Amino acid sequence: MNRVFSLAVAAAVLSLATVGFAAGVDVGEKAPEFKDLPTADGKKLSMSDLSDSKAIVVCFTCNNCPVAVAYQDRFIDFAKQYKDKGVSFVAINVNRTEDLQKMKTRAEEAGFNFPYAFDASQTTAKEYGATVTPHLYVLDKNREVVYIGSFDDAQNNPKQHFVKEVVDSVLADKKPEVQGKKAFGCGIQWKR
Amino acid sequence: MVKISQLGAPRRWLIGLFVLSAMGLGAGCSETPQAVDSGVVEPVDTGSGQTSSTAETASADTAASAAAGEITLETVDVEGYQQVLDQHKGKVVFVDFWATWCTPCMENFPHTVHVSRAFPPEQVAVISVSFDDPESKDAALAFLQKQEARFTHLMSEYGAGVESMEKFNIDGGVPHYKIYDREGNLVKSLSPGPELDVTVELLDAEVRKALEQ
Repeated sequence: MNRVFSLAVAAAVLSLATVGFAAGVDVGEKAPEFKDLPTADGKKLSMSDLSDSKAIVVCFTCNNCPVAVAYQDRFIDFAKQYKDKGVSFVAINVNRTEDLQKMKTRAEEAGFNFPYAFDASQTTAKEYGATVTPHLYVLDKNREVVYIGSFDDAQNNPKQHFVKEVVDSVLADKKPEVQGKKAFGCGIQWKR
Repeated sequence: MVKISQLGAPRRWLIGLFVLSAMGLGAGCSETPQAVDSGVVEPVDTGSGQTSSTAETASADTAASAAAGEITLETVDVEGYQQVLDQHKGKVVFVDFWATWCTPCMENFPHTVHVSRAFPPEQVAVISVSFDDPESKDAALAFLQKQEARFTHLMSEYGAGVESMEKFNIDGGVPHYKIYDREGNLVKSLSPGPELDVTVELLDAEVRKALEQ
């Protein structure tokens, strides 16, 4: 009988632990460090490499999701527009069905002007709490998360540009008006 | 925090009972990985295949499926969605939020078709809500016809964008499932996650639970 009870307690503790784990990071919290993620151009990417950046946009994405594909050019434009302002844009592929070779092809074909890293273990995605592709996180100069959600408000003809607005606020040392929006995209293909 | 071992035996049992009953209630939700049957239904690995290609394939079959009739797709706002829910008061309502641009949604859609066939229509109503843009409506309809999904199909008038996610209150992206009890109360919301594989068994169990409430 005691054994049943112990099992029940263990199950309860385990489920609580999972809640904390699955929740990921929140706005106002320190961004989880990512380290030595292999990139499409054969390098490694760590958050510490970006220590000079005034803001970092972390974009969990993939090759396959049509939403991610539809946003590619917007990401490229953003990286181009904000590079000289000291902002880093990094894309992290999280899907279990993809690999570095396919990523390399995509990065070359699409002309990615930002690092395209592979989170093969999905650890970084879990630490951040990413759920879809693309799922965006904006980190300020102290590497606190200041925004979580979608890049803008619509796949076609967007009118509100959330990530840009937030980054502009960070650069101006202001508290961003928007802190979070629901992410819009394809559910991440998790390992089973 | 009070340690369980510090409590007297009777209270320990009370807590034990509580935990057990809570586990029963929570079984299948994302916080209880024990309830998750790991991948009896493995999604098909589509590799680099784009969603649109599936939709195009489906288009080819439109003419044949259209002959069967019945399967239609109605564009609604949230009020229209609520009206459809209201029409089904007295039944458990199962809703699948999906889109043709979402590969996992299309991989999982047969689960929803299964649910629509596994329960008597007078007890469980099944609805799909597509988050496609208007120009993808034909592709969405063709997919539904190919699936022979004979239930209510709606399309969000907010299209493919964050507004659909916000208006329909979808956390965790699509596919997303909502289950309402007979009184129309939302009793379950779920999206696949790192700890939650949404299998047909899980959806079946959740609908059964809502029926028993």
